[in-house]
Amino acid sequence: MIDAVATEWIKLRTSRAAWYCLIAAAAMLPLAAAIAWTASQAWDALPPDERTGSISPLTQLAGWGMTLALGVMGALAVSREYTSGMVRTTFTALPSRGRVLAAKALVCGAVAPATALAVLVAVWWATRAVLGDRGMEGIPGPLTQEWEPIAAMAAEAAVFTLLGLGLAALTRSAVASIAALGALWYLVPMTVQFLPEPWNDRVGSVLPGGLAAQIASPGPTGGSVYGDLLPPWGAALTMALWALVPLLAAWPLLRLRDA
Amino acid sequence: MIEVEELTKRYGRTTAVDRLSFRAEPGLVTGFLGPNGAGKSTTMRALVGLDRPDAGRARVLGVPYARLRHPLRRVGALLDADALDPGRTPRAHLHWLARSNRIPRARVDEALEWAGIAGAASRRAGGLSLGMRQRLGVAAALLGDPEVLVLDEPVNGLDPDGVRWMRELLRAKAAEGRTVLLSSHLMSEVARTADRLVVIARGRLVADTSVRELVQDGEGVLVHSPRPGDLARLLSERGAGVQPGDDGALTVTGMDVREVGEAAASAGIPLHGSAPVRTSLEEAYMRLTADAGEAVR
Repeated sequence: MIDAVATEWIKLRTSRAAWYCLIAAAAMLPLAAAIAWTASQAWDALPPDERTGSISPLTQLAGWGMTLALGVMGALAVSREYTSGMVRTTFTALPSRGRVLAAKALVCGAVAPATALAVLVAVWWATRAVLGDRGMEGIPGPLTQEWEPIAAMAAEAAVFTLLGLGLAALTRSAVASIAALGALWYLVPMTVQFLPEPWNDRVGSVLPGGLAAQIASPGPTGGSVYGDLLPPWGAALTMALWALVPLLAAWPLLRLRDA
Repeated sequence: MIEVEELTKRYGRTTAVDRLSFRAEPGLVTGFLGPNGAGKSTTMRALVGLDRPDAGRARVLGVPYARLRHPLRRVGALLDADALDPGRTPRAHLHWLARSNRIPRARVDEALEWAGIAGAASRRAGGLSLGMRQRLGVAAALLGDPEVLVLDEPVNGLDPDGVRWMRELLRAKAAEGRTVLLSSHLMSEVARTADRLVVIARGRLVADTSVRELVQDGEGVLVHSPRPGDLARLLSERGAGVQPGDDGALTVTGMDVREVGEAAASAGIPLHGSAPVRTSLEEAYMRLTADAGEAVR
């Protein structure tokens, strides 16, 4: 197992596709900083007695963008092996296919939250640095207050990565797995909010993108397309299901199918 | 040592390999021949555990491939030069392969050097020519210094220098007592390298022979006589194989020119000419695989 993990670590480090996804995730930092800067300019342009307003939590925006980038990284870690045919080389080197999948899950499932955590802390710091002590609502507090939602969002990034990995192992296709991932990330939540009451909240509460906010929210979640019905432990459990069920479903198929 | 026993593999309704049995012994290069689509690649994939056989078994070094610990150090396989990530460099590709089987890192640069692709080690693998990727595949197969080599059409895309390099390499590996299984759809590629020939067509074994035997099978005498019918009967009675040609000439196998002449003289049958002929290996191979096609139909 150590050999399989070390192998997948080398593969991830030397994969261009993975680097592009990590760069896309890191690009959330300049994006958030630019939004904060624009808000600060708008604020400063107002006469001092008219300065009111709020900024929505930028860590949440950055976290939302990163779940897709890191989910795609997970999907490509498996599907690129199938589309290029490299999977046949992988399985001749490591014939225990379940071990290969587990090693990929371990490596991607560690790299994704580590990246997300670093970017989120940087976004938190940049927002505070840019907006300073302006009286705007929604400027994040000190890290002692903010660490819980940041950690929950990093966990959500790991969930999307493992979900992408599992979907790719099931479908063996980059297009199918990324399309399914993108649907769960955007299309499904956008559609679910139009379901009749109370199903919009019920379904919206278990979608992967809304779970971090139910564990710890960085600010008011009013207007969210997601529901808010789960207790924190329930949201954490649902996260684990999203991450593990596709992987566990792919496990037996991997042994049965020809590579 | 490679043992294939009653191997059967079906894809949907197509039977790709049909109860195929053969062995490849240590110290020999075994040529694995058959037309495109005969089932060579399927057999080789089953051999290294990529495809699950529907029946029968394939063993390497006495066990199923998946049972080997650190398989790259026991068996080197080159099945498809494109079985790599085109975005990764050759060095990175060999690096993860080495790590997966605990092969020392130093072997990576040795293998690159020795396969003649050290100069391209840091380029994208997808940008390499087919010949270069083929060399990278050979470097990967030999990375773990394995005692068994399984190579599917390894000379594809190689230039003449590369073809000679490959031939000498495989001969050297067999001379060291290793087992080499080498597939090709062209007899000319294999005849100068292989000691044994395993010929398949439509998933079935059609010949398991040596190169020398196959050449001897193709040797014969072409005779012209005004009494071809009498001559054919006479030679057949004496154990020769006789095939009449279109122009009344006979192709006789199993006798040399002297024996044919003496037999004709003893029976008083005049000969207008006789000469040794040699069907090429290529022709012998075509005949074998064509017959198999007929038999199946």
